[in-house]
Amino acid sequence: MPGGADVLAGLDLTLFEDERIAVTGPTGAGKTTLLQLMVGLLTPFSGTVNAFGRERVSEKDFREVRARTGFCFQNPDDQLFCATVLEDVAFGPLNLGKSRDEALAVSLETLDELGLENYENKVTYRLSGGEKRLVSLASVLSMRPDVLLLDEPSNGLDDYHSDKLIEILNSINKTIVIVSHNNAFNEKTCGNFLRLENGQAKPAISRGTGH
Amino acid sequence: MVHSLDPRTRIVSCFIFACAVSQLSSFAALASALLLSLVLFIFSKITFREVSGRLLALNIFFLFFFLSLPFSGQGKDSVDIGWAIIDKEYFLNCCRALIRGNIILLLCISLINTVDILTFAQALSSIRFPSKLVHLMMFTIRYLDIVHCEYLQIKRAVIARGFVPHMDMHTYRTIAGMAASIMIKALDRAERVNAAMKCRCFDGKFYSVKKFALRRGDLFYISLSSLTVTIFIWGEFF
Repeated sequence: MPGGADVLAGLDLTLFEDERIAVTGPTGAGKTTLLQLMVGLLTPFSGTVNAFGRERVSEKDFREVRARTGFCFQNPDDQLFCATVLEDVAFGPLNLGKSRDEALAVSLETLDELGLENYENKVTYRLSGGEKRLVSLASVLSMRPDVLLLDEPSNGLDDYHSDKLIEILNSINKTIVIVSHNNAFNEKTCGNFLRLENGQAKPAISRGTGH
Repeated sequence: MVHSLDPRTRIVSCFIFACAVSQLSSFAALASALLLSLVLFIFSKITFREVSGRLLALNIFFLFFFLSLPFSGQGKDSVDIGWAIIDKEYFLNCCRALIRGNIILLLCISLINTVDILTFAQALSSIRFPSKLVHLMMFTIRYLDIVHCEYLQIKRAVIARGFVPHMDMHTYRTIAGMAASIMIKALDRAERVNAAMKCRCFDGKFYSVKKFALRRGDLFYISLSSLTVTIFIWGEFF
């Protein structure tokens, strides 16, 4: 970790099914680190990660975790790498072994759900920031994940797209972890709050602690 | 016409034609190949204006051949033109290279330029082209623009703080710093893109939503072009 200090030391977090938890805290508190640990992009120096009923250690373990977890990155440009929207949204389902037709069907369905009809053939890099955010959400929702991890989802969104995103998140029945320092956004989308400070967790309001 | 052909047909035929053309040396064969590439160019419906820049660049490159090679030979077949001695064989080789170069460029323009870049990548991977190279090309296309934006950002930041380039150490250091910063940012981004792809269960293999199919036109084109290549090679070597 930058600075050498222990991040997330002694953190014990359990995430329950259908729980919606917002993780807040100042920059450098380890919010993104927490999400990356959950899907095995980082390995903890000490401690364990348990997901979907068992301990996850190897890359192979985490591959299964990632198949059931939709991780939406902070910057949509990091997530969307294909030339067209449809290809990006179909990327996940195809990786999960879906056939071409199944992947196409689930991608178009996801785009419809997010109000992105007729976006499938648009060129990714010409979309606006808000549209890119919605498409990157579509690109993980098309994998039909059980858990959704969102890293600063409200970053760079105008009011219209922010409201739309809140509406979408409230309409889907999934376990959600949102990392954000936008308190207004968190309050509109989550029931539980966790505050990270100096690498330590402080349940801000309710029972907290997940995963 | 060319547009309705399967992209794989176009890529493979362009490669084979180019290989065949590079082996031709008789001017009759070269002339007919040039004619053929012109016909393909007309069928591709690309205007001359769009490609004139590329053709010009290639021919300027060949101009340097003509300015150097014919004068450097000491063969038996040299012609004295008063102020210089021109080697005939070298001069003819220059002419061959010029014609071959133009044919190959015209072929690439008419056969490959008509495939959009993503389809091109997918067609390449479906004909078992090394996947690393295909990925490299795809990512370059997608992220070149973003790297360029990052460059503009840094440039604006530097200008906003009153930077004016001079011939001095400060300028060199600043430019080196800018270049390093762009590279580090690109590297960081590559790591994040890789992580994001891993999160979507990427395992090193790209699956495509596009399906390619050979149609009757393709088969016709393939047989016609195989015949042409055979005639060229036959005429050249037998």
